[in-house]
Amino acid sequence: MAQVVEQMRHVCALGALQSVLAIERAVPILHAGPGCGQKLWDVLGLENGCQGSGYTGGHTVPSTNASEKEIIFGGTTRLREVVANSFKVLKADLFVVLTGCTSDIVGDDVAEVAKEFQEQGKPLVYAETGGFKGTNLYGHELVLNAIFEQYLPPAGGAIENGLVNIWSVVPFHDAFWTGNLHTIAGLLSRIGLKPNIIFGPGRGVNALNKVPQAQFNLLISPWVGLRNVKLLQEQYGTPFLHYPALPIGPTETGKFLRTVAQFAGIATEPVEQLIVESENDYYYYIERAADILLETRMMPRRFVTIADSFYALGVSRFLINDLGLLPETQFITDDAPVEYQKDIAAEFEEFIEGIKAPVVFTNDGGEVHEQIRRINFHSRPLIVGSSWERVLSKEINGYQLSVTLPVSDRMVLNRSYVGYDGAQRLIEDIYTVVLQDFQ
Amino acid sequence: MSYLDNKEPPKREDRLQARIAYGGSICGLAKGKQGGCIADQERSFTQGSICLLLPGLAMLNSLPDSVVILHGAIGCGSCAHSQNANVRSGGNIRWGRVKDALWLSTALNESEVVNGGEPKLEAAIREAYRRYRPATIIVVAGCVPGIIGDDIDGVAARLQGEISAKILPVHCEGFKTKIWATAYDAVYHSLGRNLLDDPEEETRIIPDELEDLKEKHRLSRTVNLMNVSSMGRVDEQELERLLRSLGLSVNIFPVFSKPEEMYRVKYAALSISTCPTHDDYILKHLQEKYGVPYILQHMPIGIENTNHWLRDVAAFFHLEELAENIIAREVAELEEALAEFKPLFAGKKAFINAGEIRAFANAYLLTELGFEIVGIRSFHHDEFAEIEYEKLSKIAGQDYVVNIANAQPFEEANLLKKLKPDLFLGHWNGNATAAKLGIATHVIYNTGLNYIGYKGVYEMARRVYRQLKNPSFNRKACEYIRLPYHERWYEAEPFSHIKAQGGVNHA
Repeated sequence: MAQVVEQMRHVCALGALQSVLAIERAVPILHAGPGCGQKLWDVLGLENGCQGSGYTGGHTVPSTNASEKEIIFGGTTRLREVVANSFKVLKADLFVVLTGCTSDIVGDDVAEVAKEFQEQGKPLVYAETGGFKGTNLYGHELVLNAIFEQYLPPAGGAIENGLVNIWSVVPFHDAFWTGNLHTIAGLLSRIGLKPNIIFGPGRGVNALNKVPQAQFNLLISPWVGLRNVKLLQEQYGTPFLHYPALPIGPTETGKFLRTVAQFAGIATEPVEQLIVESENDYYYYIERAADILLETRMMPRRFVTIADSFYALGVSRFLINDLGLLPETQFITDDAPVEYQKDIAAEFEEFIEGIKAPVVFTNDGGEVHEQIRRINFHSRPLIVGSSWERVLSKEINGYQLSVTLPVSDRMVLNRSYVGYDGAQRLIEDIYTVVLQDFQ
Repeated sequence: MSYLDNKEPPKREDRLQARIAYGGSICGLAKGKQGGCIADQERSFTQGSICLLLPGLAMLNSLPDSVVILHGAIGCGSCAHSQNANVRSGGNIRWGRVKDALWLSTALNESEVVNGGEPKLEAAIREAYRRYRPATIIVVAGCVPGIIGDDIDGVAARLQGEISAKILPVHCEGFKTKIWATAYDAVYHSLGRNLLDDPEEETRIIPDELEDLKEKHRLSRTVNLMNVSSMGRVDEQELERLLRSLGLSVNIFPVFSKPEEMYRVKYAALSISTCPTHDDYILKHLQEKYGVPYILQHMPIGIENTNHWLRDVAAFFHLEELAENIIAREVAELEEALAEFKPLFAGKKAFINAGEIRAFANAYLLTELGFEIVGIRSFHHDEFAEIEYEKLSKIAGQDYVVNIANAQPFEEANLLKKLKPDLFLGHWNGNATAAKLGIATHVIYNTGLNYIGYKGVYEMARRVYRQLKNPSFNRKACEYIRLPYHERWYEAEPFSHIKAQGGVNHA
């Protein structure tokens, strides 16, 4: 993490409360200061595609609202009381106690409190997510591992052939997570696999309970989630496929489908058929749009991404490999741990035509903007980032589209940027920015 | 000794005996029965509340030519994301340009929690100064420095000699108080300690007595209009209109006001608050230290409340007759305009949830519009609410429930299920529970909308009318969406989780 962080593009580990909320009928219980949940939800829920609070989010989330008393005398008594009453007041299938800075610094024995309820057979797990421990992406990994270790049954159950757990974008951190996960599931179904996703509508603990039965875990992510699939491998012996790039557009999606099919050991014919059909469909629309794209020459030629590693990699692959744009520096703002940075950077050397994109890892938006102001783009650039880039883009005369946190300038329901359809949405959105700019 | 001589302001639990957990009724709370005294209670079940950083940053982020450094973990103060929308639109409407709030985080990590975060804060202050050369650098402390013992005042003092930006320490450690309105005190405390000194003297080369007299006269007709971000520009404009009609000049303080001009607050003839929850701390200081008198009652929401507010100001300047003329004209015009809406409102039941004074002022407004109030929830209780309890108890058709709660939507859901109001007014982020029960809702605070003054009454009526005319969005939604509470909770007594400090529940 940078020494000083301007324009926050992620939050702290406690932000993983939103990952709990993404599991239907799962409720986080915060053992944290009085404002922590409100603040984290403010950006992850409200200022990121207007995702809102949902079933038990926002101010509905139980919280001990730790005060001086809990800091000085310890907060486990208070936590025990709030947890016990959460079961009495709220209807839910799973409760996840998440600690904030206050509890983790004073050293409350939360494990002990959780154990008391677990021994009563209550569906409750805990994770120590004090904000100083890392980002919400790291917190997301902590929470999933806590659920795997404390809630899922021990190894030994039957394996269901073709069942694949999908782990990818982080709920709420990615404003498009529901659409993206839905699209990935759809693609996998069409090649004969049975996708299992725990996040999003209609899934919940039923999907969670199926996690140990999967044939394999599919991680579509540059780095977030590696800890989770490794734990599942350890715990259940489930193998995993790590596919780093979010598949956007025909080139990457075709490669993605073939890689998955090969790993799953399924017949290639239906896969190739799906790819051909999808590419034909995609290019039907490209053929029609080409007249405007080719004649007006208004599509920006050069671009930067200022995004989490999912979108920086996924979007740049699509813009270079399929749309024919040229990359300037790509800024990765999700505080990707140093141990993964080399592998992530290597992915930015894997474009067609030998094109490479320089990568800068920093979560300090101020530094990013300083660097962008120094780039000579030759023409109006495309700035794919967050709403932090709105003012900057005006200043440097760029075209700006928010796709990564905070997406405060767009409403997102079930839009997806993944696969063939997702790439079409991205073209629509980028070119709409261009068209609206001069009209 | 003044509170402002200390590094930090006292918490409101101590200074004002402010309280956050109570269930009772409006007539019970009215003076003479309950008195102003509510026992210090807590809840055995709580949902997420709010901490000082929310109101604190809302004010601080708006200050031009300033950088806010949040000293804490990286998630601390992330409410600034939504407040940035207010900063962008607020800047645009005031100065015609969109600008982001400048806020940085020291993003404290595990090693700094162990070894102390002061060196990182020093580096952050230097970096903020290098990047922006601002007039002020505001250092806001979250919970972590409060627990590990970082001395933000010490850091500020150490670096002050090194840079020309004024460094302002602001204490917003969330765990220190349950009354987040203490944040207003925390911000005013720092502004009062650091930004009220006169600028270096500008002497006229050629003395001009006439100019000096004009200035003196102007100041004798200048009032401070306090705004801690609870009013958008549209509301400020409405109050400016009314104050100007009394022949007064208006100095708005402190949101969106330039740090180098803040000292002017000392030279006004009068400070006018729109809400004692916000301003009592600084107004008392301005009077004690600089002799600026103040008005600190009646939030100008609703017809009678606005009349009271305007009369108080006019009385100070001996302009009673002028005020009565203005009031007569404004109210007549307003009543005529409201006639269109009132038949729809007559007898409809309303429930309100908001900040202390705002909740009660809106109850008064809705009563004036013809609604029957069936319940009020306010974020906290202190002595300033007593006059509001009294005013409302006098116009209440029958007694109704008052719940003091810092958010806690579970109590609200319980009450709404029982009371079944036709209309719910909730604070920003506080309307979802009622909406999911199919009740028509309207947000009681949003800086883009007009709520204040006579215009606010009309705008509010117009918006509520529209909401009630077609409440299908909430009604349809409630057919499909469920609140997460157990049936047995709805059957329970709504305040059964409220208990005396360390004691047993009031079953």
